[in-house]
Amino acid sequence: MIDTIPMPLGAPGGGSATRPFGFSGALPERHPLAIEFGGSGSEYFRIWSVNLLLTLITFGLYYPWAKVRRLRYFYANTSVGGHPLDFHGDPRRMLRGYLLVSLMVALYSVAGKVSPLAGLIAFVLVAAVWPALLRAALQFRLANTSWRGLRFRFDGDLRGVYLAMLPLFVPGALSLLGVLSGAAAPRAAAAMSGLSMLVVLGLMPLFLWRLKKYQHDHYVFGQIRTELRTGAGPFYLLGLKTIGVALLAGLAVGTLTMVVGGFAALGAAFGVRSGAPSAAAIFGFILLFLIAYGAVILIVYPYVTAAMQNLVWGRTGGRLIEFESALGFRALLGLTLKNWLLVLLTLGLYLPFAKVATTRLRLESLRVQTLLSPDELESTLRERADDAAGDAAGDLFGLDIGL
Amino acid sequence: MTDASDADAAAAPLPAHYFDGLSARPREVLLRLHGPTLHIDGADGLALRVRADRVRWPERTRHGARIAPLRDGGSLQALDAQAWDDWARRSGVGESAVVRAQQTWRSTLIALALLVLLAGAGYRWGVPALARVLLVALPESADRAVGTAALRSFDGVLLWPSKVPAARQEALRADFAKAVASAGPALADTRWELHFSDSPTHAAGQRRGLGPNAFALPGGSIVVTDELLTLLQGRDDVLLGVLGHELGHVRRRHGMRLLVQAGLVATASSVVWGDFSSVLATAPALLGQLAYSRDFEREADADAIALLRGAGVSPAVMTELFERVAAQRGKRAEDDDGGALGLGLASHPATAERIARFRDAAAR
Repeated sequence: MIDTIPMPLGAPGGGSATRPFGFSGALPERHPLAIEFGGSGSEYFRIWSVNLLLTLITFGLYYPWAKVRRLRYFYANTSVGGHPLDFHGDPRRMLRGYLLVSLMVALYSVAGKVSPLAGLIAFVLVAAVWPALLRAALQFRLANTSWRGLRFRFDGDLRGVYLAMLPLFVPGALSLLGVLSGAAAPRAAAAMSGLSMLVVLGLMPLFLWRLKKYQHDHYVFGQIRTELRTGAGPFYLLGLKTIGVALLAGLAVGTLTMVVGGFAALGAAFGVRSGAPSAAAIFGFILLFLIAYGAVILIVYPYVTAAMQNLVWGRTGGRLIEFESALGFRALLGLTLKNWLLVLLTLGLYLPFAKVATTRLRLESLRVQTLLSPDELESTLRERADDAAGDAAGDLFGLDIGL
Repeated sequence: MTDASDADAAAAPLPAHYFDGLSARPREVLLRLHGPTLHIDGADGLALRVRADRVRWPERTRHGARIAPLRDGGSLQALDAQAWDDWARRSGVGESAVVRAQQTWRSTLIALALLVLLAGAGYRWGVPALARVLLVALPESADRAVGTAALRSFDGVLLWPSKVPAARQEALRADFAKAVASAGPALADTRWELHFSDSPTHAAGQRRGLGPNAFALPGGSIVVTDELLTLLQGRDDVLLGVLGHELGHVRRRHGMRLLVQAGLVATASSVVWGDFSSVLATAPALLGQLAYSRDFEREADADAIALLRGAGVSPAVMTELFERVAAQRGKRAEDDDGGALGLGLASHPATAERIARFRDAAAR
């Protein structure tokens, strides 16, 4: 997974006409930049508690300040080549974007409950502005992140993000047709929504690839630009492997559940004369099902996370930069299980510790080297950061744009 | 900031890195705070003077680097976080109460205790109160839209056309209308619509309905299953109490309140848990529904009592309902059929408690 970058960086492979910098054919010197995360769980726990309280007693208005503090803490503890990252977002502006998006979400969730038509209209509207919001969030986050005094930049255009999300619109339109024709022909509508589910499943890897490609093709830092050097193939392979892992996990957990459940059923059969499932047995079955479901999620989620990070970052590079990612599935699985167990046992108090530990593992499995001395990096332009609305959207809808 | 002469005397200049925002090359500088002005002097001849209150000073933490962004896009980076903090303190750079609180365990524990109290109070009083306020803003037409949509979605899935003769249905409607009219203004002003539906738990086909049940939907639709009419055969007075209970749900807009409250709890819990897992974030919302709906059942029982009294029926007749339900449940268990009996009754408060409530009301 690690050394799969198709073209050795720095080798003058693709014609020199497009090379803006004056390498004269000789192999440039590599500058490995060590990535270290020095955050502490107990310290973040203190920051988290105090800021959560402030957020709740201000009815959420303090949230942007808490978020900026959290980001600045995590960034200040992320050292790349001996220099930390910093986040510059202005909480007051983020509050504006945050309120805007909250309003949108509130209207969206109410609309669906008032009438199917209103819900449909809200859905279409959200789907229409969604890609633009995603781009705004990426622009905002990157423009407000700095390293060695230089701001990052995201230069993907509006057209690009809509094209990238196109695979998601096709099944969306299909199910829309299904809903619209639903009143007239329920059976056709059911077939249509079933079809669109299949289409979604089939297009998911393609969509993920296009989305990741859009993101990773447009990161800019000084003279450095990145691109994602892969087709959709590995994403489909990852999709198949994920289904395999899910099946295996389901089989293992399912067998265990059956064994335990079987004993429970036997007990119930001998315990109750009529042989009817007692309330306790039914409750037990539900509990077992939930445990099995959770266990599958707990195994599949770390698998996808690790494989995805390795795939995407392992194939991200540029003329002047090269990434590698070696996030181990077993390491992440162990950490995830430990985190969940402790979060449940402590009723959530372990959350900040879990967050710090996961960030450390994920960050420290990344390697990066530049083919230009970092001292020689220069900003190509200085521009104002974009509106904060996008960043708030990214956070509320759970879009991971951090790592 | 602080007294200039004081700070000058105490703080020796601090070596740091300066970045101009255009190049990634660090420049070695010395920082000195002269009253309201920060002096940034480099060995290479750099001499910047900036207003100290325009500098975005980093917060003190035990781990992590210190970066201070300047207004013009440049920034200062500490070589050593500890030395930076010492210098900042001696130079009189203030820090907020939040930063101080974050750095002591005592205030962290106080914050945690307050969080627990806040969560409890918000859950018990805050969310229902807020939901009530939000509901005032939500037009009643929304209730009807939700109710109609829900009723349509049950058609052919949980509910089938009633087999009760139309004349009998009309008679029950008329009885109920008369009782409502004499039950006091609050109930009498409530819009309602009575539907009868067949909902067998185990008929010849693949049907699995609700069995004996009655429920209210937002907007005033009250659904009574044929199975409930069979169960309460000969006791129309008990049926009146059941309908009064459902009318109570309608009058207090319980269905909509539940929706709004679930939304509020989900939002609050996603603030706390959302980072970690969306599954965990929804769990409190589900648990919340149960506790809230128990409160609603109590309120609806009070309305049932009012309606029965208005109709000149003793609230004690409701014990018959629980007895018949219990009897049928016993029979069912022997019939070897899990059934969906009492699906709607499951979220009701413990039967004993409810029986006691109706008996008390009758005694008073």
